[in-house]
Amino acid sequence: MTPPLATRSMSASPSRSAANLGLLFAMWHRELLRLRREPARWIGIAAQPLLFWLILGSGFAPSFQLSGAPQVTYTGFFFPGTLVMVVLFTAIFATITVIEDRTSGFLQGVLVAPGARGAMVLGKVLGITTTVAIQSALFLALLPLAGLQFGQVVWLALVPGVVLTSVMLASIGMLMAWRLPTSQSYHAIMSVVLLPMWVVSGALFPPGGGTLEVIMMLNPLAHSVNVVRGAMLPELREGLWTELGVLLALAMVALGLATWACQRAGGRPA
Amino acid sequence: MNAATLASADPVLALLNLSHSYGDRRVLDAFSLELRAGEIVGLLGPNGSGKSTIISLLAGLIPSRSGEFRVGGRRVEQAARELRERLGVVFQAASLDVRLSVRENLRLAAAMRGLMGRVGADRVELMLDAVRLVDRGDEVVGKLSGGMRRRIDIARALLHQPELLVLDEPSSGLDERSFRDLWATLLDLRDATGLAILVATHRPDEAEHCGRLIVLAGGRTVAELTPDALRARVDGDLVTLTVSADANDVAQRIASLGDSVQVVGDAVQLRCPPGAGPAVIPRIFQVLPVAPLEVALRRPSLADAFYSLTGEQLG
Repeated sequence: MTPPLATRSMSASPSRSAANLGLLFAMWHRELLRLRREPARWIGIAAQPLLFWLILGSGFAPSFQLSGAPQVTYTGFFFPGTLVMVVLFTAIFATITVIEDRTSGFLQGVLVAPGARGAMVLGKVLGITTTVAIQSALFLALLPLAGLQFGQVVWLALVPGVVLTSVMLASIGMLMAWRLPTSQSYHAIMSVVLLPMWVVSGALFPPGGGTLEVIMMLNPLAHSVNVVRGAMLPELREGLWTELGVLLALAMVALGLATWACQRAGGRPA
Repeated sequence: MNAATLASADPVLALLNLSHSYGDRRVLDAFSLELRAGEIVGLLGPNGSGKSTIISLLAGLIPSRSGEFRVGGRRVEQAARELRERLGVVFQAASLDVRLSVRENLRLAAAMRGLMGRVGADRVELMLDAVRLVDRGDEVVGKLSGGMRRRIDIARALLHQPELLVLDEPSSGLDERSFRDLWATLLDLRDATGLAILVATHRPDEAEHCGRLIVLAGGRTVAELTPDALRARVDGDLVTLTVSADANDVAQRIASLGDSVQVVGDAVQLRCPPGAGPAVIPRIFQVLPVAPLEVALRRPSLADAFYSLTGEQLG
């Protein structure tokens, strides 16, 4: 039974690991509570890429032919890119809440907790990733509509690919939201940086050589698309595990940067 | 439990010579404070006097570049885990997720303090009981009144049984009844647990609840004293005149009728010895060529005392 209200001795303090684990759990659990409270919002976020896939997929399908893999249809080619878009949109809309939390005052309550900032960042990123996992699972149910087969998917690459993409994008989102003063500025950055990143990731069209191919190679999201596409399409599986390794490294760097940024500034825009 | 009996030799918290600047603007200058168990200390000052800066430094929201933090007599780093564990903070804006229920908010806050599972759930129920909101626990926070949200936020800040509760303008936006409820809750908690409370306020009626006041103006400590001692600085009757004529001229004409006279905006305040006010008022009418628009007689408030001390208005 909990003791009655009384000032406690320091011996009753939670250990450092309990404080970190508690903070991590709270941040993760909050994302799920919000998902449960607002399912329509999150379904809407996932539905937008689905519309993209249906409209663009059917529009480009007649004129699309992939050199070296003529049997790949555009709806099949575009499906993995759309899944990455689901992850991108979810990460964006989930990390923008950091700015809302700062404005509303919720974030201050988090920052005075005794856990480390790294636990806060990791909890938030894992919460977003759990949301992404649920949305991705729903989206993947449409796989046969794209002419793809569940049996041909390399799940051992796809699942970590989606998880690492989510970790990377949620970390980038945290990094930006932590530094930006308003949600309007976040939206501006999203329009100028994140969406173009997706457009030149190879999600919409294959690399055609030249400058664009160099940009794609330098684009972190291109590695996400390569992993997800390689896991789904047997014809484009070359270099899958190398790409997964690159994605792992990128996700860890992004997570590290987000943790570093959140430790530096005190929860206020710098 | 009497608060006086709870006071111990070792301060729960000591801040020594904290200073802070935003760019070239000095907002806090060599601020020091000692706070003991069971004490309620008020930081009294208008907006911009440095109150919120002190709380932000204490909570680790802004980096401290000078000064010392001491917990239980030992020096600690700013925002050290040891300090944060002993501290519960209620900020001006409630640290609650308005989309979640009261219990969901408190369970999250308990987890953030390492209180999970049955222990966390029991603490949540105990605190809901302490702030008299057990029956509202499943309601979404966004649908509750400002007063209730403030009490939930206090419950949140006390879940881990801190030794020190810090409140930044806790009565902001509360109606009179919510204000009374809030302070009844705080005093009950203090009496039951020996909690030390540091409250930043610009409200004289809130400052009345404090055992000790640190009067701040322009980022500096102007005085440290009890509310009675502060009020005693302007002891006597206070006659306030609202005038249509030049206030400085009026002040000059009536100055000899009392102990001191001040111009406060459009009004002139004449301080007289205790009980002398009723006799002074007819004489005011005699010495003024034009009758004042309004005359009021009252005892000086903490706000008057603050003005007398700092030359600044509270609020």
